[in-house]
Parts: sequence; structure tokens; C-alpha cells
Amino acid sequence: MLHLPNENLLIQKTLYEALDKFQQKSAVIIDRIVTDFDFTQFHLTTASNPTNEDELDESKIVLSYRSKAWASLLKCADNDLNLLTSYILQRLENKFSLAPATELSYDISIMIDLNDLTMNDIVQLSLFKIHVLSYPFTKSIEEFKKLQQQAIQSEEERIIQSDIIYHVENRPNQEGFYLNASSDRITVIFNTKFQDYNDQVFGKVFIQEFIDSRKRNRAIQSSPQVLFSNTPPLEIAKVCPQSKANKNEDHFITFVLFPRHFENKNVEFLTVAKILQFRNYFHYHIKCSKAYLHSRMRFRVGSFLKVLNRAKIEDEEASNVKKTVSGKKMMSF
Amino acid sequence: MSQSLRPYLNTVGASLEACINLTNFPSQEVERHNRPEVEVDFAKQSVELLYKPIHIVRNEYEKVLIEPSVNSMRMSIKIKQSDEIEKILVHKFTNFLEQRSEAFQILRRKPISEEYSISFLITNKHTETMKSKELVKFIIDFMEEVDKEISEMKLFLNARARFVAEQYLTEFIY
Repeated sequence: MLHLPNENLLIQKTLYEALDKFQQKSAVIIDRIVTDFDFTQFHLTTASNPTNEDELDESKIVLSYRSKAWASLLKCADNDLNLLTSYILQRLENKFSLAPATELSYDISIMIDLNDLTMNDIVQLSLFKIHVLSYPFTKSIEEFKKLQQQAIQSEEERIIQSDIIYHVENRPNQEGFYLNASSDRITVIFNTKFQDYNDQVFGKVFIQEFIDSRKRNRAIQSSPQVLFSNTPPLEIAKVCPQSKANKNEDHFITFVLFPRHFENKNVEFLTVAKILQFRNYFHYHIKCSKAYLHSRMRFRVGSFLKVLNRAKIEDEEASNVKKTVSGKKMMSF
Repeated sequence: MSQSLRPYLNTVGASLEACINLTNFPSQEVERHNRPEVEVDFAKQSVELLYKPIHIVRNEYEKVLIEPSVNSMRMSIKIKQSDEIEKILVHKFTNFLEQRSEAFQILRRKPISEEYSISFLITNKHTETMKSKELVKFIIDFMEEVDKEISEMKLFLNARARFVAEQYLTEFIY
């Protein structure tokens, strides 16, 4: 598997089965926890009846979402919960409503009505995580458009850089990404760390290839520019203090998105989804190559053993041993 | 095999062949003990049973140390590791082999010091059950293959990284 899929297949499957069973008039009660990358967790449950708490309403499903990124997303929305939830609902084409009560220990719960659930809705729901995390991207793109207008009006040939830096922390240890808009580009900066020294060295090889492949391969020159540094890049230097303890621990990978990467809604969605998948893709392939090297070494050990076994002296070879037709050994002295 | 590697391996092979002449020799210090004399604690070693160790050095990254004695010989190899990745790969690979040293018989569980990547210990028991010519051939074969394997793995890692990066960035072409 080269590319990680954007959608969550388990959500898709669960909803599809629920819908299928519901349409066959044999609705099932579901209660399923689904996990995703970056410590994201979903909980799909059959909703309870609004009039009677003990009864279940089989035509409705509650989808709850929890993620480490929620707190920083709220910060991006100026701590306005309504702003964020209405944005998420709007991304789902306003087809769903919030559940009457957000499930305990989850961040957001939405109500799904099986009576008017379409295939497209199921796909959109399986992309829920991306829809949620695309919030700062949408904000940055708005910002970018504003700055672009300003730049055109000001007549001066000058790049205006936004003061607002969106920071999303979706993993522990301050791992996450930063977004900063300016009048001609949007910069996405990932901060990633490696727990293992070996991963760090392998990671360096991979990052170098990300940087070089764009220069080398003419076919992908219109892809975002990739930069790397161990210290926080200037764009985010004021919000991201450099960790003094270990300088080599932080890895800042910068993607420079140009207007062509978000020129229309469709392209914008693909770009955002892909960018959000970067950290997972990157770490996943490091692990994959380690696994391959491991199996290769395993094979190699086997072939070395074969060579060594050739050195062994076999007793059977002794010329004075002969075998009878029945397989018995005959020894002559 | 490159031309510059051949004389190195030939020398190692010839030296090994000269040293692998081992015989059964019970311990002089402890009664009813029969132990590989090279492995005996330094303070208790009998000097007359140890021969002069042989250093064969190709360059600062590759060298071999052969320590012969009357009933055993120890050989340590430093495998070429010119950068961080090769270091990791060599370390992983030798670890892998050492964990299976039971099956390899002549392999030592640990290299004799930090300086070397891997050590072999051949005793008279081994030369009695195995052909010594083939043992030498195995070690030479090992040295040759290990270098090749490490550089192939390194190339693979780079190629994979390149492919992965290009595939990821290709997704942004609309």
C-alpha cells in the first residue's frame, strides 16, 4: 500500500451495514469504537429515543469524535465552539445536526438519520477527521485571499505576510503543524519528532529525498516546495520556542503551497487531505523500509547458514558404509 | 569483487589458513578443564599457548584481527561503515547474526571490543567436525557478502525514499 487512504474505511463499512440492515427493515443496534491516526477516536452508537431515555431509536446513529487536535482547533476559532461546530456541519453540507448532548469525553457528536442517508453522505462522514482538521486551512485560505487583494491595491511590489499563525497540535510531545498565510503563498510547517535514533537517521534520508525529488524530476515541479530545518523557521520563530535540551530532536518540514494548490474547492480539498496525511505517510514508510530490511537480513542469515553447513563433515560419506535395498546400513571392517 | 578488495581477502584467507591449525589441548591451570585458550581470563593466560596476534588493515574503516592459540583462534572483523546509515545497518545486521550464534557455532555472541563489528571463535572442536578449508572459505565469503549486502541495503533505502517522496508530491499535480 503506497498511499494511505483519506477516508476511514471502518466508519464507511459500519454505516453502510447499518443502512443496509435498516432498509431491509431489520435494523441493528450498533456500538462501535473506531480509531484513526493521530489519536483520533470515533464512537458510533444507536441513538436513544428523545422521549424515553431507555429506549433506542434504531433509525438514528450518533457519531462522536475525539481528537487531541480539538483544543488547538478551538484556539484557531477564537475559543468559539459554535463557530467550529457550524463550520464542521457546513462541511458536511448541513445534512446532519448536532446530537442533543455531546457524548461524555468526546468533543463533538452528530446525529445521523438513516432515513435520508445517501452513499455520498457515508463517504463524507468517513472523511470526518479531514473535515474537522481542514478548519485552519480554510481560515488561512480566506486570509490569503484578503492579503492578495491588499497586495494588488497597495501597488507596491511587496509581499504581505499575515501575523496570524494557526497552530494545530494533534499529537503528544508538541508534534503538530503550523499554518501561516502571506499574499502569495501559504506555508505549512510540520514539527515532527523521532523516538528512535534509527528512525531519525532514516528520516533524514527520506526528508532529503522530499527536498531533492522536486528539483530532479521535472514532472513534479508544480508540487509544493519542501524545506527542512532543525530550528524553527522564521515564520513561526516567535510562537515556537526552540527546545534547548536537544537541538536535533525537532524536525521542521515546511511545505509551501502556491495559489494553484487551492484554486478551486475540489483541488483545495485534495491538497488539504494530502497535507494532513503527510506525517502519517512519512512515518509509515520509514517503518515499512525497516520492516523490509529486517526480512532481508533474515533471509541473508539463512543463506550464510547454508554456506557454513557445507563445511560440516558428514559421517555418512565414509566409504565403508553401504546400504542394503531395505535401507539398512552394512558396515565392512 | 573489486580489484582492491582481492589482495585484502587473499591475505586474510592465507593468514586464517595458517592459524587454523588447532589441536586438542587440556588446560594447564585447572585439572579436567578444556577451554579455548584465547578466551581465558587475561591474568590466568599461559603465555606459551598464545601465538602472536595478526592485524590486517585495509583502511581506517576495514580491518581484521586474528588471535591464534594452541587450541582455538579468535577472529574479529571491522565491517566498513562510512556514514550513519551504514553504521546502523551494520549494527543491526551483526546483532541479527549474533542472536542466532547458536546455529552458527563459530560465531561469538559479542565482538571482542567496540572497535570491531563481529567476532568468530573457532576451537579444535569445530575443526574436528568441520573441514577447516571450508571454514576459511565461509569467513572469506562472509566478508565479501556483508559489504555487498550493506551497500545494497543502503541503496535500497535511498531508492525507496526517492520513490516515496516522488509519489507523494505527484499527488499535488492536478
